[in-house]
Amino acid sequence: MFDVRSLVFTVVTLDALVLAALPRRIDLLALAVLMLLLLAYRLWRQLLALVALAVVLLGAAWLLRLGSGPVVGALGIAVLYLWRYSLAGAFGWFLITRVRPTEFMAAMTRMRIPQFLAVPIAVVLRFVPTVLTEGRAIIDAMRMRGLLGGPLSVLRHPIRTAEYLVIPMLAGAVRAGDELTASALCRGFGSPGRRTTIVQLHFGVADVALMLVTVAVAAYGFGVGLR
Amino acid sequence: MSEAVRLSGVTVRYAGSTDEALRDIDLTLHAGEVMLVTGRSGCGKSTLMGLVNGLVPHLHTAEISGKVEVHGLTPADEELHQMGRVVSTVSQNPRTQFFCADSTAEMAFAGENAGLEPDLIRRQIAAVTERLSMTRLLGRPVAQLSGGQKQQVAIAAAAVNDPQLYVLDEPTSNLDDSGVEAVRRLLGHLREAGSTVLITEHRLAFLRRLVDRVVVLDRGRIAMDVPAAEFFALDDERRRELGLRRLSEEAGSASPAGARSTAEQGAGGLEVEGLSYRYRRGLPPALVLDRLHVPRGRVTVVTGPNGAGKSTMVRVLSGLAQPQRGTIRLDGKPLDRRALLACSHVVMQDVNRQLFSDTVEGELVTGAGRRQTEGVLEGLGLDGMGERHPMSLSGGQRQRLAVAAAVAAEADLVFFDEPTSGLDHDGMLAIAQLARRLADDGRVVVIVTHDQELAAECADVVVSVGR
Repeated sequence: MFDVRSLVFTVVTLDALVLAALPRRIDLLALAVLMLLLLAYRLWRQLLALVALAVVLLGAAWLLRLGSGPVVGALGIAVLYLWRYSLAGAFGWFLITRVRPTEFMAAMTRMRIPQFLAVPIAVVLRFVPTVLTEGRAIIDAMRMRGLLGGPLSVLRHPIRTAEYLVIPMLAGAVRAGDELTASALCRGFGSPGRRTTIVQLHFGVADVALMLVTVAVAAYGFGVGLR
Repeated sequence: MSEAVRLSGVTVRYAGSTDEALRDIDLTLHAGEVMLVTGRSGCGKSTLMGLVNGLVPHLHTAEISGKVEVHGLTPADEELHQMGRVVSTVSQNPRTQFFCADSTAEMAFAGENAGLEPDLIRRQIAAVTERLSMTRLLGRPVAQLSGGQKQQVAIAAAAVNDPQLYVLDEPTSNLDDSGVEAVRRLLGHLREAGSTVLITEHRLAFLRRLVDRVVVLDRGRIAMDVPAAEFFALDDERRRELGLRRLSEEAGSASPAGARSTAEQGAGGLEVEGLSYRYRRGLPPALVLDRLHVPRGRVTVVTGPNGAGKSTMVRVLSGLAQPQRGTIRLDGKPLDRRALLACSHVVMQDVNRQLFSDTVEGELVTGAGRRQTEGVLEGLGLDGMGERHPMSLSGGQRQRLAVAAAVAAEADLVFFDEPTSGLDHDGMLAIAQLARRLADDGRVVVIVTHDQELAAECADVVVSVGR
């Protein structure tokens, strides 16, 4: 679909804008861009979740604005912050799950990005699916022990659930990480000297369009071209 | 003949450990030789491999005395990436040794990191996949490859690196028969091409005629260093003494001697009718079971190739997954998914995922429902360990602890998912005995495995899934 470079540019720029305290409703434009990206990648379920999140949080913020008093006002601000962080997180999640480590390293290699920046990010990208698999297996084990009855039990015992899930997951991630590290280091990953790549990246019209949209959103955010 | 590896008087002790992992090892591997290193779990095989590729001491800190030479280099003094140009390593777990999501990219990975010209890397990949006749595995998403295919890609990736020495660390421990066969074929190619190979394995039979020399380690020492012909002629008694798996496919036939006919199978147990399960609408069913009877008080072994739906079957029969069609009865009574889940326990392939408590004792009482903990640890050889942390136990002890949790929860159905991958002979026998004990208690016991030796050891009933 899109080239890694245009995706990284868009996500990093929009995330910064959403989290920055700009005086405009930049979040709505960013939301529109993310929805278009999800559409382009045919991620229907994620699109639905995003719309639901937007309706609930923005709706709550709007309702709170109707009320008055310091408590309601503070709550309204808190909800808006929650919304902005959730949106930034959704962008990050999109990037992490869509970009494969190979293409990411290829793009970074082409752009001569130093290894100390590129390697840790590539490792994170590589690690996401491993952690997900691990998590699914642990959830199975919890259900088997009756530690997880359903969505309600998570709400009733959030701390217990987190404890049972997180500890074996960390242990599993460390184990898998050890093996992955051994395999990557033996094959020279992160070694000094210039890296090459056999991956051919395609920077096409769609990428140019995406980057133009991003630049336009950023320009609006800073008030360029408006009086 | 020149020497590829030479160890003289090598002793290794890991940081924080009082025991030596290897003691006073003298070993020479000549160029062009294929050497098998075997022995019980924990005998020091992996340490030996680590010494050669440099992971010991670079990644696993250890104190090394004596002299280690690999093609004239001392691995401890070189950087890991420099050793990686000389030694290519294939490890046992295909899931964690891949960095790339695509098979071709994986084969190019080492060359890219070394900064080779892209065209040179492409030519090497083409030449190697041609020579190993595996061009059809090019450009495939790694997630869609079977375990055996992943290991083939890993070996091809090693060959693209054109190393002086191959180190294969238990390459088949997670593979089914066809996967083992594929590894055997590639190993044959490497041998014909005159490559130098150092391989560790628990499974030995498939390596007959593929190795030149065999080294058996026992508690960190060399117990035996002989030509392959001599090793594969060992009698069964000596083999068991050394804690080794069987040496030929024939010994102890693949079909279980103890299998009983349906008439003898006794009443009760799990009965399945018209079952089918699919992950999502639109996908073909991952599992179809028209009729299946898993008797009570017997050990039922489920075999079949990777991807035949064995693990799915365990998930459905244990109530972890809801089938779209079909009924499951226990002793004639139909059970829904919840009821099934409440009375089953799965001992997972990676038991670390199912240990939640910070003590062994706590592990028995963690979870919902009534617990029967009296005498459970003693019965499983875990007596006196109640206060220990589960992660401080050995692999075999952790497996027994997972079984102990099943016994404490009075699970009526006990499933084992590939319990013996990477286990030595003693470990395999221990699992067989565990399964037998659980069956003798009158439980329904199901073992999913591609370990023919385990099946021969403990199966009363064999069910084949898939082709």
